[in-house]
Amino acid sequence: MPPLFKKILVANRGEIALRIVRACRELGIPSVAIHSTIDADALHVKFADESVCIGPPPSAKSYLSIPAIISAAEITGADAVHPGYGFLSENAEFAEVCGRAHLTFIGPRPETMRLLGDKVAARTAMSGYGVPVLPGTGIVTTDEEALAAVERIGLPVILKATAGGGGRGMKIVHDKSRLIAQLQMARSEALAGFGNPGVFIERFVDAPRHIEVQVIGDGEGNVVALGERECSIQRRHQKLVEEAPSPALSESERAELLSRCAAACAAVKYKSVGTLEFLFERTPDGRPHFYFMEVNPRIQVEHTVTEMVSGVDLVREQILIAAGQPFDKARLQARMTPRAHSIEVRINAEDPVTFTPSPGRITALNFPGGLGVRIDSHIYQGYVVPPTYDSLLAKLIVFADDRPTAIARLRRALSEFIVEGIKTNLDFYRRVVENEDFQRGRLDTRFIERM
Amino acid sequence: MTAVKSPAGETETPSLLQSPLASEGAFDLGDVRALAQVMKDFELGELELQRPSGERLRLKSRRAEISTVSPMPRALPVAAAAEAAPATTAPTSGKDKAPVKDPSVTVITAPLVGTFYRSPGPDSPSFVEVGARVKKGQTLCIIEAMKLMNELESDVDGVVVAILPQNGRPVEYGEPLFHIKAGA
Repeated sequence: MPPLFKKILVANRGEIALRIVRACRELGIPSVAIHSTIDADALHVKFADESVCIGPPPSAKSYLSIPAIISAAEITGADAVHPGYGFLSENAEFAEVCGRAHLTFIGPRPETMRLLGDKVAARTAMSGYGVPVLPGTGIVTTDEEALAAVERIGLPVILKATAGGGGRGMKIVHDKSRLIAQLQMARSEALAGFGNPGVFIERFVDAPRHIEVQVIGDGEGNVVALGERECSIQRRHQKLVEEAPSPALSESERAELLSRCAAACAAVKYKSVGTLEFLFERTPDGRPHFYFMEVNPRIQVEHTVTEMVSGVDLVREQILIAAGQPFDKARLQARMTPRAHSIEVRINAEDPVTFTPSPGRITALNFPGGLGVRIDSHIYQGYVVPPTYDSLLAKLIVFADDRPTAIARLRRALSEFIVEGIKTNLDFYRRVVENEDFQRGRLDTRFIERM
Repeated sequence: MTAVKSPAGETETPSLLQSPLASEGAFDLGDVRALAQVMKDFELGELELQRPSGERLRLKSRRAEISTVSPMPRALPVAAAAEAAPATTAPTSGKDKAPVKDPSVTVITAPLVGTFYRSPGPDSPSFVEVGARVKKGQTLCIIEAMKLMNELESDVDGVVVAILPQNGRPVEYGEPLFHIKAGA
């Protein structure tokens, strides 16, 4: 068997950096944390075997600085880089630079990242491999093309930047007379935001569920779809509550979805972990409809709920695949059937009314505990939440035999969760667990608007 | 915590952020340092802090205009504060043993992470030695990052009074490299 890595550099911060450091520790691989000056007292720095300060607080000069990160890997003798999520995790150029510097990038191949980073290309490829997509177009170049597409698809439609993703670069069109003006705006926003003016059109689904599939592949065409997650509770495309399995699917619907995703990812010889995101709606006749949105070629924030119901350590698997360890497909396939129900809520440092970030010092902290409770978090009492980065403080994950028990456990855990000194959205989740629609599993992306 | 372990296993701990501010009592030099770092990090022009006891501290950046305003005016006891500081600052070692108290000494820090070289090549003489007089713009060292040799220039005129890392050692962003005393 090829040896594992000598040392892994964790090119991230916050809870995911700590999550990766933990996986390295359990595998017996030394880890290197990188940090900006303002993160010198962060937990991922404390718990890694080594750390390197790579720059000042602005991400562009630290966590997004490819030269600084490669240099940190060189001076510490790391031979692999784990990008986590966000920052450089979906940057194909970073993956290539790692390769040239003889560092293993723990993630998909750069060419896979390039293919999937272009939404039109990803949509075309996935559709070709049997994954259902919404009625839509390729890149729209002329006004006539756009008008004809809307004629064919029907209103409302959504304009999307092909280089966008994660809910950014989208415009909904309800009125045909405004189509051309909105198309022009979408193009200039796409050019400004993503450096690519390409825009395409899809049918707009008003209040779908968001359901996504976790895949894991060895890069040789062996892929397992490890299960689905439902992440319908969102605010401005920001996921807040995620659970596995989805309460919306029957066993046969789940099996059909997973097998299609596994087949499509096997066709592109997908390597590492990744997520296929879908919109889901059930038409009045009861038929399920899945529409492919995008692939996220990285570990995701909400990977934890899949871990809890499958028993598979996804970050560990990611490292083993990158190290060229044999892929035990049968072992992973045996974990596809959920053995529990798991729910995650994202505790953010934000004002519960205005949703503006609330940085500052945490003066008191109590994490819930007990059976079926997992916390992934980088905060501690006395920690200062910097205003420079995203507002995620902690992921509270509960798991239990079934969904009602998981909700009761979540309610109990939330009652024990105390964060003082800064504002958090804990009260929001305390309202969610009391919501009847949530309790009954009646979820869609407009859930929060209705609350 | 900000330790880079060298291949030889030695640990060096530069102090880039001072310890948390105490919530009570008089402001000391450690507080001023910590706040100055915060101002630098966030590029703040001015920062004002008031304790429940009424003690206020206002810092202005750009050429270090520092003023203290408190109900009972008193001078900032620099030497005393420096002695008191270890009680509230995190334990430090190595480079930080001799904190710079002399206002005429400029600390040159690493502008990027990489490997510190005192000379342009293994057989070349060092750019500067302790005691050397340097001019603004003069090359002090090289920091190698990704096979690129980045020359670091002095931003002041003065005399090199300390060279902190050893030749060939990794350095972090912001790590102190040289002490240069003006007009010596």
